[in-house]
Amino acid sequence: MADFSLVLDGPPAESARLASEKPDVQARALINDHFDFVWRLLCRLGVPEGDVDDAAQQVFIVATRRLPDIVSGRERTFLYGTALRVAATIRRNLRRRERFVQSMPVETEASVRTPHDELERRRALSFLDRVLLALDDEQRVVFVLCEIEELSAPEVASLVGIPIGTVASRLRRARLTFAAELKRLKARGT
Amino acid sequence: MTAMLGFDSFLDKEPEELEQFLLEVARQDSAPAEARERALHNVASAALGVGVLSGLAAYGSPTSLVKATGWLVAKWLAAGFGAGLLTITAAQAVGRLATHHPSSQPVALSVVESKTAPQALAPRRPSTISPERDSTDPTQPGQDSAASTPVAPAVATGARSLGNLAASSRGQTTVTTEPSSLTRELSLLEQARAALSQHAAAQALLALDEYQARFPSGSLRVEAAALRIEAVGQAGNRVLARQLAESFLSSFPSSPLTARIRATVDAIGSDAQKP
Repeated sequence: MADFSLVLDGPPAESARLASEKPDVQARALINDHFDFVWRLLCRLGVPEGDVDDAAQQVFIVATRRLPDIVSGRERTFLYGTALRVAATIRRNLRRRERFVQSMPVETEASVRTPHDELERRRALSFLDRVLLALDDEQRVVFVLCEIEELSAPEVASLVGIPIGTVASRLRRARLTFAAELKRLKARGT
Repeated sequence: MTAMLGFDSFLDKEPEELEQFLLEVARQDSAPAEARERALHNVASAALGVGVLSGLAAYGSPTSLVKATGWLVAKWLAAGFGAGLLTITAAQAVGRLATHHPSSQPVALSVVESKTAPQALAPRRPSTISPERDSTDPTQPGQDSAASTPVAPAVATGARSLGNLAASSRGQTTVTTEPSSLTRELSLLEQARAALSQHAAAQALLALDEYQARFPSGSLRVEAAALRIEAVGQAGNRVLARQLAESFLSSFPSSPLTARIRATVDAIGSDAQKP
């Protein structure tokens, strides 16, 4: 399989340029380059809103500890794998405590205080996350990377470590499941 | 109900349109600036990993160490012993000294250090802090725990903390933090944050007390100080929380946590206006 990591991570970014800097400088560069990516990924992979802040920090703390092991230019690939594991751990713990559904941000205190536009945006994201729950983990990862992060199939294949054909089939099934679940929840009005 | 109308409005879209709308909202989603700032502070501090200065280095400015010293004294004195106005004033004085006369700080520290009382060297026990104690109004000396807690030991203990920092700043003391201890630090702060989110200020303060006792030179102690302000405010001691916040803001004007602290102060202010 072709190596698309450079495509994924883009041109040499701040984090790569500063690879020889001190650890805290490298960590800051890593966050500046990739925080939004990690944040969105955690949100869409089922980490409740209230836990995303801590989860994102966990991802970057792990990455910071592993800085010497991260190949320059492949930071995003490492962060993706770490984010997946952190999200899976959080979801597992939540299921164990049977709090997952209750903790989804439906009517949080914070959202009540936000302006109308922000509130609608949060509710839309909450609705989207409920739709995404219908997808199994494999489908959801591919769907999020393709449809939200707008990565190409070869890029997703490189990131996830699966053949391009598998990306295509998972994406096809994910789109069908997504559309069906969206219609179902829309009909329920929730 | 306007919020519900807004929610209903996007559900009125046709399925295909709704799908594109939701995906576009998700594509434009980004991390809150405050979350990014917290990560920058905490992770960069953790990256340094060792040493008394690690948490402070995130602030970048050469004068930040001196300012931080003033703040840490304020935190120790005011939050650690629930003492009254005298300790707060002393802490603020140190903070002002740090702000306006950074070059003279080591001298001042040495003077205070010489007053250290031996009995005050033991780490503060979690049980010494209770919601009742933290809810004491520091502007009313004599009616609070200051009556049962001698002021002198409190000041002396604060001075000991000050002395440690002074020695550290002169390179005489190096407290190392193992990487594994960072996980424990994070765990305690996460406990405090979780307790705060559930409005359990007493539990948050206990977790912060344990953090203070176990990691007096922890990498995340500035974050712990910020959490303590929120906890004290949530416990009902608005005056102390506001004073701690003011001291924090004057000591760390460029801290990434200032927005959070100001929001806490605003929340306290708005609460205070309620009947």
